Amino acid sequence: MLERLVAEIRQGGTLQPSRLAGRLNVSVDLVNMMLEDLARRGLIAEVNAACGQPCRGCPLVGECVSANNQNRTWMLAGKKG
Amino acid sequence: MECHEPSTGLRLGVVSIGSPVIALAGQPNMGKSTLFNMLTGLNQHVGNWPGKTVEFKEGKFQYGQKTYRIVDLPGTYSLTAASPEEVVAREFILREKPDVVVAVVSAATLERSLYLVSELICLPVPLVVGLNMMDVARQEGIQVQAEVLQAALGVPVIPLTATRAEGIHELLAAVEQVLSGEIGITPHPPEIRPDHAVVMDEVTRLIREYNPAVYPVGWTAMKLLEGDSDVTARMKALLPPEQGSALQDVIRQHDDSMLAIASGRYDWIGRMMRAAVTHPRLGQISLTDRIDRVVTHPVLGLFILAGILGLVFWLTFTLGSPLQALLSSRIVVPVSALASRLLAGAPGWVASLAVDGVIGGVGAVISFLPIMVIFFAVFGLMEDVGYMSRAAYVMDNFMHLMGLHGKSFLPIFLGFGCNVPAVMGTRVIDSRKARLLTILVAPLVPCSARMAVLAFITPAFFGSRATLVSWRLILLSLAVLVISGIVLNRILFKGERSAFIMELPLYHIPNLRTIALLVWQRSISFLKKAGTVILAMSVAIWALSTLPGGSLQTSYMARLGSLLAPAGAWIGLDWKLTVALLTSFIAKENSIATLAVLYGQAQGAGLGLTLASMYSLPTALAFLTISLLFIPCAATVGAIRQETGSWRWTLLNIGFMILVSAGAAKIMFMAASALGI
Repeated sequence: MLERLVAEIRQGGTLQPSRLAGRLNVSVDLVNMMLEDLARRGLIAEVNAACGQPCRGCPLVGECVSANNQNRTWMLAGKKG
Repeated sequence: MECHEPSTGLRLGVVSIGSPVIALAGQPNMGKSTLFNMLTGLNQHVGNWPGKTVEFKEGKFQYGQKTYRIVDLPGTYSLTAASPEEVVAREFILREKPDVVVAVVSAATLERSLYLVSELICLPVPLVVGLNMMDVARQEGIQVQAEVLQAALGVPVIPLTATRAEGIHELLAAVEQVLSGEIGITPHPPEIRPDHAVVMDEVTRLIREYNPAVYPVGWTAMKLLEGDSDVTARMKALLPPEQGSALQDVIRQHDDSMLAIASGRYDWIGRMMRAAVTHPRLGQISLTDRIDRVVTHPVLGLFILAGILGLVFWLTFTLGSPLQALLSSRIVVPVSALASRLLAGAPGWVASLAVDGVIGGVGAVISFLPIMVIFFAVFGLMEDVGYMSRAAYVMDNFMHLMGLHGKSFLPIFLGFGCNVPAVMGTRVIDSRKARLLTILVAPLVPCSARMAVLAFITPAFFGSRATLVSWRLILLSLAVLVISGIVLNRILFKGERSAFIMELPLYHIPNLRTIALLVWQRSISFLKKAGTVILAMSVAIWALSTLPGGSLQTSYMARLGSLLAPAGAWIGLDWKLTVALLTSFIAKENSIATLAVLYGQAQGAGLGLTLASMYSLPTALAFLTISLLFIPCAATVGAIRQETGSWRWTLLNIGFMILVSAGAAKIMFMAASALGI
C-alpha cells in the first residue's frame, strides 16, 4: 500500500490526503500515517505553509493572508525509495 | 511477512519461575499508565534503563492467587530504532522475554495503534491486545468489533475503558488464560510479497550463523532489510568481512525492500480495519468532501475562485468606495481646510508642506482604509472558513496545467497578501532554477496594496462598471503570470512535474471575533505604514514638486517628469502619472499619495474626480495595468536580492517586470483606444 501511495505521489501534481485515501480505498488517517512514515524515511518532506521564519522582519507581515496557515503540506523529496 | 520462527503458532503453558512478568506496550497517551497505576497502586517504583535516560516503571499486583510483575514500557509508535524509547521497548521484550506483552491500543484511533501491534505480533512472546478508550470510540460513533479483530489478529483482544476500570478483570483473565495455556495463540502477522520473501531468505541465510541468540533470526533479517540503524550496526560488527560485504550487496540490490516491508504492514492494518471497524462518515467531513468536489475541481474551482474575486470587488465598490469618498470629503478635506486656516500666518512653504504634502499624501492613502478593511475582512473570512487553502490548491492545479512548477504554489499563495513573503517563500523550492523562475513571476501576483490602488481608481473612471473592470484586470494580471510562467518554464524547465500533498482544513462556521481581530491588526499595520513610509515619501514628493522655485511646472519633479515623459507617452501616460508610477516603487500606495500631492487633492473635491476629469479611459486602463504589473515595491526587490543572492538576477527581474508591465499597458492602451472605450 505504501508502494502504491509512493507511485501516486510520483505521478506528480497536487494531491489531497482525502483523494489519495479514496484512490487507495483506505481512510484519511491511514494515508496521513503513511505520509508521516514516508517523511521519516526521507521520501517526502513536510513544508510549512505558514509564514514563519522567512517573514521575520517583513514590515507587511501583519497583512499576510496566510500567516496563520497551519495545514500540513508535503512535497516529494530527493531521496529515492 | 513471516517474522516468526517457522512454527505457525505458539502453544503457551510455560509459567515463569517466580512471578509472571507482564510488559505493557503502546503508544504514548493510549491509557497505558492509567492501567499500570490502577493495577499496581503504590506497589511501583520508577527507574532508568541501564545506559539510557529513558524512564521506566515497574510494579506488582495480585490477581487471583498469583502475584504478577508488570513493566510499563516507554510509549512508542513502532519498534524501529528511531528513538531511545523504541530501542528500550524492543530490547526489553527480546532480551528479558516477558511472559506476556499487553499492547494497549486506542479503539478511537486504532489505525495509528496497529502499526506497533504489527511489529509486536512478529516477536516471539505471547501478545494480548487491550482495546482501550472504548468510551471515546463510542462517543465518536466508531464501532470496533473486538471479537472480529481477535479472529483477524489471532491473539486475544479485550475491550477496555481504563479510566472507568471497565474490562480490567477480563484483561487479566485473558492474561491468566494465555499463561496457563487455556487460550492458544495463533498470530496472523503481516505478510511480505513473495519476491521480497526470497530476499529475506537470502539475508537470513547470510546472518543465521552470526545472529545473537536473543534475537530471532527472521526478525533480524527483516530489520536489516528495513534499514534499522541499530540492528545494521550490530550485525556489521558481528559478521565476518565476506558475509558483511555479501549482505550489503543484497541490501543494496533490493533497496525497495524497505518500502515493501512497511507496505505489507499498512496492507495488514487496512485489512484489520476493514474487518473490525465501522467508521462513521462524520457529517462535517462529508459536507467538506461534498463542497470540495466542486470547489477544488480543476476547472469549476477556477471559475469559483474568479467569482469570489469578483465578489470581493463588488463588495469593495458597493460598501468601501462610498465610505472612502465620505472619509475623504468629511475628514481629509475639512482637516486640510482647517490646517490652511490655522497656518494662514505661517510661511507659505509650511502651509504647503502640511496641506499638500502631509495631509494631501497621507490623507489620500488613509482614505482607502475602508477599502482595505473590506479586503482584510473578506480575506480573513475566506481564511477562517477554510477557503484560502482551497484557493491555493486550485491555483496549484492551474499552475500544473500550464507547466509552471508545482512547488511555486506556496509563494503564489503568499503573494496575494504581500510579495515579500512570496519571494521569501520560494525557500521551500530546492531546485535553484525552479526557485529563480518562481521569484521571477511571484511579484506578478497582485498584492493587497496593488488591489487597493485598483479599488481606489476604478470607481472614479468606471462608476457602476468598476467591479467588472477590476475583476478583469486582476484576471489579466494572473493571465500574464501564467503566460510568463509557461514561456520561462519552456526555456528553463522542460516541463518537469513535482508533487504536492496538501492537507485541507474542514470548512467551519467563521468566528467573527477572530476575523475582527485580524482586520484590526492588519488595519493598524496599514495605518503604521501610512504614518511612516508613505508620510516620508509624501514629504519627499512635495519637496521635489515645490523646489526650487515653489512652482510645480519648474520643479525638480517636473524636470524628472519631462525626462520620463517619452517613456510614459508610449503607453499613454503623462509625466505626473509616470512619476506616480515610479514612486510606487517605495510602496504601492504611494502612487495615489503622489497624485494627491501633484493634484493638490486636499483642496479640491477629491482625487478620484480630479483624475477622472484629467485622463481618458484608455489612459486610466493603461495606468491600472502597469500599476498591477510594475516592478514590485522596494521591500520586495530587497527580498529578491536577498533570496537570489545576486544583483544580476535582481536587475533581470526588474527588467522583466518593466518589460512585461509596459508591454501589457501598451496593448491595453492600444486596444482600449481602438475599441473607443
